[in-house]
Amino acid sequence: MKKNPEIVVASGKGGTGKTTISSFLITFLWKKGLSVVGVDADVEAPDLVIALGDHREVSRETIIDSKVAVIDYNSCSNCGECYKACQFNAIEWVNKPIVIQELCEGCGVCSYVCPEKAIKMKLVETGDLIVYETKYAPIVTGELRIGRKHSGKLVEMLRERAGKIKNEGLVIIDAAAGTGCPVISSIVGADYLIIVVEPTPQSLRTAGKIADIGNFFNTAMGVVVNKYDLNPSFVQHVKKWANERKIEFLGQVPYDENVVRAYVNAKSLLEYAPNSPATKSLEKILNAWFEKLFEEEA
Amino acid sequence: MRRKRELVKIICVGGGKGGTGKSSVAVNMSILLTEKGFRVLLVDADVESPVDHLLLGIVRKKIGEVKSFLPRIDSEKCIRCSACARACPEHALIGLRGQVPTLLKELCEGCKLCYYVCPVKAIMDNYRVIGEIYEGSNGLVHLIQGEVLPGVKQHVNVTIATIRYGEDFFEKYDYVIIDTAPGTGANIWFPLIKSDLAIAVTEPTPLGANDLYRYLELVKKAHKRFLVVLNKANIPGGRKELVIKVVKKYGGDIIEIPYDREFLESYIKNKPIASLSPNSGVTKALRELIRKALTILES
Repeated sequence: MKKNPEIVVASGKGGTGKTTISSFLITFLWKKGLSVVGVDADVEAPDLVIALGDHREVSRETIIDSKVAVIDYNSCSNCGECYKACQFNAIEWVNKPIVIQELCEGCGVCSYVCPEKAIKMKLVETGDLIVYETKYAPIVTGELRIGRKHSGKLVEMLRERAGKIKNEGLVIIDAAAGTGCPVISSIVGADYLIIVVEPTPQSLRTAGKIADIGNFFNTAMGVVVNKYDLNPSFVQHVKKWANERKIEFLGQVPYDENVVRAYVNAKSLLEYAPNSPATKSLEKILNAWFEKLFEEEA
Repeated sequence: MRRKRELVKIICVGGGKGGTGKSSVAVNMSILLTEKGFRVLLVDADVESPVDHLLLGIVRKKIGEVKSFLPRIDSEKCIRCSACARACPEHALIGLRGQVPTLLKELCEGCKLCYYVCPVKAIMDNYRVIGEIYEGSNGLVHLIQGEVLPGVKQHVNVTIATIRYGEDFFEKYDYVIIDTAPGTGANIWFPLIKSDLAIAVTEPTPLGANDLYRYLELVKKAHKRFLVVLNKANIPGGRKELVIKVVKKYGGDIIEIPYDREFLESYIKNKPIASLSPNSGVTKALRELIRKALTILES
């Protein structure tokens, strides 16, 4: 493992505990005295700082990096070429071509094919890039303009920014739910991927897709079963699954109401409930994982 | 392009945060609507994590594929001008002087600009499969489901294709329920604009409230009516007031579903609670949701 690794936490399915585990990981490393930068790559629903308790916004800048097509109807001859060329269903035909901004990729193919040169590509806001200060680490996050595409590009920018901040620390990336563009942008180039599953077939099924992405980029991977005691017999399936896919089985975490209570009280789990079952098992899991991760260097 | 859909009512289920119970609500709503004698189509448009077939306990059948443009260069025709590589917005085509450009297909979004830009028509009209469409039925609820292939970026295209596929059959039904992905991106926007009513499923936590706010902003932008489902409403230490505060701002109604171990178990066992336990508090709350939804849709 290289000196300043990037660790990404993903799950595919929503609500499995990605943010719980990535925020815990940040506090865990802080407690060890390590320098850490967090990246909340869930730019459609950013919540990492909430899970870390008190936080303060230190900077916010608007990223203007998206393009959308704008039609000048004075020049438009209603020929339909743009409608035929668009591969993203972003141009609807209601007596004339209408751009659905929310679906526009900004690729410019409509503008290129328009014989009247009636379509211009306009630069628009992608979202905000925000840096927060928390007790444990600076957190870089983004807020995608509601309904906008290009979340993958925003995630790349967040990681770039985190890289500039970290000096010599670890970067922890909390990925979005799903398996699409922003998740791929979170995983590519990362050094270790922690897959969080809950004990249901639904969850394991999408975890498989996350593992496929990890495999594709040759990322080292481990799996944690969160809320395992809701369906304890399922843990065996996860172990078998991990074994077959050569994914490290990192451990299991019980369902613990303290996780919710910690959020509600705006405290990190580690400090709010240091002796709770979830804290204890997460510490055990992460200690073992951490030692193994850095053993080659020791 | 406009389909006959004066009679069918479309309801989409979203809410921003993952794991709040969107799919469970969508599946159980579908079942309860069929119990009322309605013909119901459930469209699972969470193409990155489609699970409605599992929740309904049915075996699905593949019925279609979603394709996307992928350039294939005819090296005989290519004049090595690199115009395609310069035009590619994703930098998926790498053009070195005097060489046929190389394609990094993982980066290609299939916009087809290269195809149009090539001055000698050396780029062929080639397509690859990016997703699959499935169908199934439990005898009552008919399911159409989309699924994006692993490692493919164009989940929005697959979402749209799934709904478009379903649209051809919409007129055969009284209600169409669209189960959507977490988040507030373009893959939520498309089903939302097709719908007559949005159901926002959330939970009483600061995270649930925060994501609900983003979702309701989207609903407002789309000028849609909505209902909020507060799932696990009574979990210990829950912050119901945060959700109420967000909903108040947008002027909507809230239906509370109590936290019930049985609901969770029904999810784990893949047996919908509406069938498993028709008299449970959860099922009653879901019936209330349907009543309110129908009142809005019929007004």
